[in-house]
Amino acid sequence: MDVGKLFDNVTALAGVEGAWLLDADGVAHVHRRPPGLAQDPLENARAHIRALYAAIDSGPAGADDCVLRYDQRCLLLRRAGPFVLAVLTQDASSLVAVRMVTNLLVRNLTPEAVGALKPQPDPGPAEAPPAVEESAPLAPAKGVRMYRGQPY
Amino acid sequence: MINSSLHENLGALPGIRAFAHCSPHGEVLFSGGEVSPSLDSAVPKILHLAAELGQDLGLGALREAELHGQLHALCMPCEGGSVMVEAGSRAALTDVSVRLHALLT
Repeated sequence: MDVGKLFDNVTALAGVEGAWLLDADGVAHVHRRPPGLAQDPLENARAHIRALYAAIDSGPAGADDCVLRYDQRCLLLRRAGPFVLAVLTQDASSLVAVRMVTNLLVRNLTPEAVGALKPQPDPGPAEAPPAVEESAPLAPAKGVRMYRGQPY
Repeated sequence: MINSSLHENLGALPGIRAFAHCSPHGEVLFSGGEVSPSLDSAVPKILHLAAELGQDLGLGALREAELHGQLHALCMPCEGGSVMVEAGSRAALTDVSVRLHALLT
């Protein structure tokens, strides 16, 4: 199953403001940056996500899902093997739908499926190129796809 | 709220298996039920990292953190430390969350 399309299904849900798929090294394979966030919010966040799971694993094993509720947003973290899916939502009301849709995505997260993803340029105003170059084909077969007025 | 009152109120929450109140340094001030090993002392660190993560992303203050998998736990910062409750299901934590917020605020 195409992990990229499954990821798009998540970001298309009402209430979802952003999502990232990170591997064990904290590299973002696909991401949709929410509007209004700092240029690269994951720069520090990825280290904290890794540390958070390390702290959770210091207790009983088996807690792969985290729902973090903040004053302004909710952050859902789901771990599947070496991958962590982070989904930012407007509030808790959309979490049920997000969990249902991400179930399918999380089940299909394999190194092979993620490796086949094409690199995702940052949709925001960042000038820097993607940090990681991958061997996946760059040119989409169906032409340029647009997300919020930006090609990706 | 004095600890003995908090202790009684945590113990009276419906549908929970265990609870713990921890100091900011990870010391377990009191607990009840069968808390998963090492989880109670890890709660302050989990909450601290979750709060840092929220700062990174500009999400405001952390209100609570839920952990789900083979266990279902709700962690919440409170005056003088943090509180953690474990329940048997994800659904059970929804009601606990509402009651715990009312208890701690």
